[in-house]
Amino acid sequence: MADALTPPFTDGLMLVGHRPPLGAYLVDTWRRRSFAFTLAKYRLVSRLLQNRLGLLWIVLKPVFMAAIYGTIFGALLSSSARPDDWVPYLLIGVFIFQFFTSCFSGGARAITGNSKLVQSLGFPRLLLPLSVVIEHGLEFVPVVALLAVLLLVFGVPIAWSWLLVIPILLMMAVFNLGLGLIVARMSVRVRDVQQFIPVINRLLFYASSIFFQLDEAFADHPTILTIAHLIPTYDFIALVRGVMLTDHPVPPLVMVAAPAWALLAIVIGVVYFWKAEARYGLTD
Amino acid sequence: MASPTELILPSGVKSGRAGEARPMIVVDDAHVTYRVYASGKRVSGRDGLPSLRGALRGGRGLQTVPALRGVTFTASAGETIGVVGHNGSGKSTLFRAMSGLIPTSEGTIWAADRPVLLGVNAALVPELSGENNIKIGLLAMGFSQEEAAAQVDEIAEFAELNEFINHPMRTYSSGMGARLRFAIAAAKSHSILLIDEALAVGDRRFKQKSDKRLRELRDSAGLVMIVSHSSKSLRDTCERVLWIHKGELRADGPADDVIGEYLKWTKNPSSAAVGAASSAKPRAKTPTEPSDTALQRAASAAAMAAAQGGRARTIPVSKAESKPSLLDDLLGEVGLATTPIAIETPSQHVKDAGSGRPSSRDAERRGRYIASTRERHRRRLLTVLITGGAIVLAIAAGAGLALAANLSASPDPQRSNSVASVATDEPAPSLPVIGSFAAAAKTVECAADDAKAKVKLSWKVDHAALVAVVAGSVTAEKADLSPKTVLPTEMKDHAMAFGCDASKQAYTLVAENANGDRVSSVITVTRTEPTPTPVPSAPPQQTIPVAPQPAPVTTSKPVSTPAPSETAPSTAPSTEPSEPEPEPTPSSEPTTPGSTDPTSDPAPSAEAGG
Repeated sequence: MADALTPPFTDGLMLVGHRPPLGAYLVDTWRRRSFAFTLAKYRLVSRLLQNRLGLLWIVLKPVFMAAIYGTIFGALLSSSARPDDWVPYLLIGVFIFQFFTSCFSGGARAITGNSKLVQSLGFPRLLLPLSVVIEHGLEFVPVVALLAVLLLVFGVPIAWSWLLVIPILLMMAVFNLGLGLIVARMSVRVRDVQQFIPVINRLLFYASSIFFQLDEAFADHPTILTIAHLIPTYDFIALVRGVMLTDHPVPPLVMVAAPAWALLAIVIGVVYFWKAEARYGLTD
Repeated sequence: MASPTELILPSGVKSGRAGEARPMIVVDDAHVTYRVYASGKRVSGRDGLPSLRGALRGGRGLQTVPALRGVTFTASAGETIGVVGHNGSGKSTLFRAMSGLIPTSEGTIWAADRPVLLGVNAALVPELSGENNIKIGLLAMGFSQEEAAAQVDEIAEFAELNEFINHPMRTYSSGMGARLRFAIAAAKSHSILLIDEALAVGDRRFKQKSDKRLRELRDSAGLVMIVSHSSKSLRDTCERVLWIHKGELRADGPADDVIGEYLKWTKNPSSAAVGAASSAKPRAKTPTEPSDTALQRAASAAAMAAAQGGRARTIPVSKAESKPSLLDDLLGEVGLATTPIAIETPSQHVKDAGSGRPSSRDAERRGRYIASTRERHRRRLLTVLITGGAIVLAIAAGAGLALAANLSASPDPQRSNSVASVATDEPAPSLPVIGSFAAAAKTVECAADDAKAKVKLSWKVDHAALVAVVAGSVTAEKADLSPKTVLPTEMKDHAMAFGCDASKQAYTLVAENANGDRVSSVITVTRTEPTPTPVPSAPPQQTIPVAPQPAPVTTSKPVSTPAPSETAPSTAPSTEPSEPEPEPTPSSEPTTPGSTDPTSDPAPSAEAGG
């Protein structure tokens, strides 16, 4: 039978059920980017409108988190590794980490949670994790504004360097997207990944120097300190602290590590995700 | 069973245009294999699992079940092709494979464009409104933002969802959802449209509209393929029909021939494995059951009520051979649509009859809608107010937290633990300041080792609650400050015993404030042999006003400033001790025996000085 289908017969036709070349795939994705934006916007709005307090939850959640962590780690446990400007330090850590968590766990559900959409319409699936990151990015804007206000309330002097937060967060969004793509594909194949993600989140939370000073805690262990400096979530948090607070200089290693992580994550993420493009429709 | 190969090529069996039309879909020996768990859960088209996942759960008795076993055909532009087959025969799987949603395990499928699949169960994004779903669907199909915006209204109108267009799609009835999906998918012409039983849903008026739209699509060089159980609608819309049976192509030919054959087979199935639904297909309902269904649907979708009623009432006309079964109930929708007679003329006048009623109901509904809009506005206002208030509260809570956090970082753990943030304002006692501490004479005369002598000490202490003088050089926290040793804060010539057996004797003045913080100062008096020339001349070499340099001894925090108001919560713990208060006496040697240098121990240590 296959012999009957000589090349001229299928001329001008494309193979169905096979992924397009990476270049064409990315071009197609870019062409339909407004789909990702629109989906993100609608989803965010509909998610928030289901709650009585609506938009407020965006802001309330991290504040509650910071309050809880502040109480636990501030009042009950005391540590020599705690910085002088403990509250701003903690706030930045908790808020920035929240961005990562939401993208990470949202990315894991990007395909599996949209199976109806995936099964009805043909579009580059890359748009779904992208839309998750956009959604949480939009959600994060008021949080950053709140963070700035809180820092002012706690007496952190405002500075032009605060504007650097925007490129840093964009870089972090790229990193989140890369990671989201990886977990999105993994959780299609192995749903168990979604069970494991909270564990990773917790681990990174404690490893990311959110409520203690890494450099103090591991001052005597240069090896551990270097490894800890390479944790991506720590890198982005440290960068934000570096530009928003006064006496938390960014270690040089971090300045290199953060962009490197972002680049690595997005390249690996896109390629890994694209490889399985044809099979996402199999999600249930 | 006929081999597919004999039936298929060349493409466009019947269509006269087939000669010049170019192929739009070429399905070449397509196989699709699902995995089934031995537990009995069938993993089929709708809820297929990725086959790879099974491998990771090894040991669960996986079986592979072929859903498609080598289907081959070619479809050309301008064709409308129907697909028939009993449930589970692989129709949906074929469509999914053709639209690229699932990969073929063997064989290949070519298409001129990415085929769009319209499934009955596809709900797009359930939590979004119909309008938003239209927009998203259009964008996903590759329309630009502006094109999509321009088409939204047209599609909404086509789907006839009226005010439901703003409701979340999860609240839609199946008919409404199907209409919306059809409208979205049909919006894009020049494409390959695969419709999975979409025509079975929706009322008669919509069916006519959708048929018209399908013809338009087909005429604009698109290819339309339809899975349907309605032989009537297939006969109407399609000129070519494929019959899929057990994953294989059993027939491919002109619609009338294949459908006729299929109907004949369903009445007398030769295969034992035939699905019950298909054998029940040509039958119709008993009068009562379908009208129930219709009532339910009317309730959920008021806009469709009239037409629904029309359909329900067509039933009595149906064939006498009808044998109601459980499956018939379940498949009520399909059964209705598939009964050719049912959809015919009777529905016309029923619709007319129904059309007279709705005006009062419409008014009622409009009233409800307006009321709900008003209510929504009110609630939105309320939400804004609450939100504003809560943001203020949140910031206040944050500030309170900060205070608490700073408090705990401040020196005195006792206080921060027991006292809430409010207590920080309470004026805490300042550290005692030893203004002066001196002996009347720096030396004491002892005639003999066993003699007794007295030393006269004077001192002045500020901010102290307790003052005591102890013989010997004692660390402040160890000094015995029991009531009996307590002395006034200012004293002139307080006599203390001097043991003549030692060459010198130290005296420690310990002062404690209300807070338990202590400071101490030490002077030393040396013993001299009795000389003829007694004391008076000695003084020149400085009387011994022992320098009362405030020696912060036991305070557990770095603050050693003599009189700081150390309670200000927001001040960061100042780590450098301020210089000692310049006191008149230079010879002071503040001995602070047990205490460490304040600067060396900035960390709050847990043991309190009190």
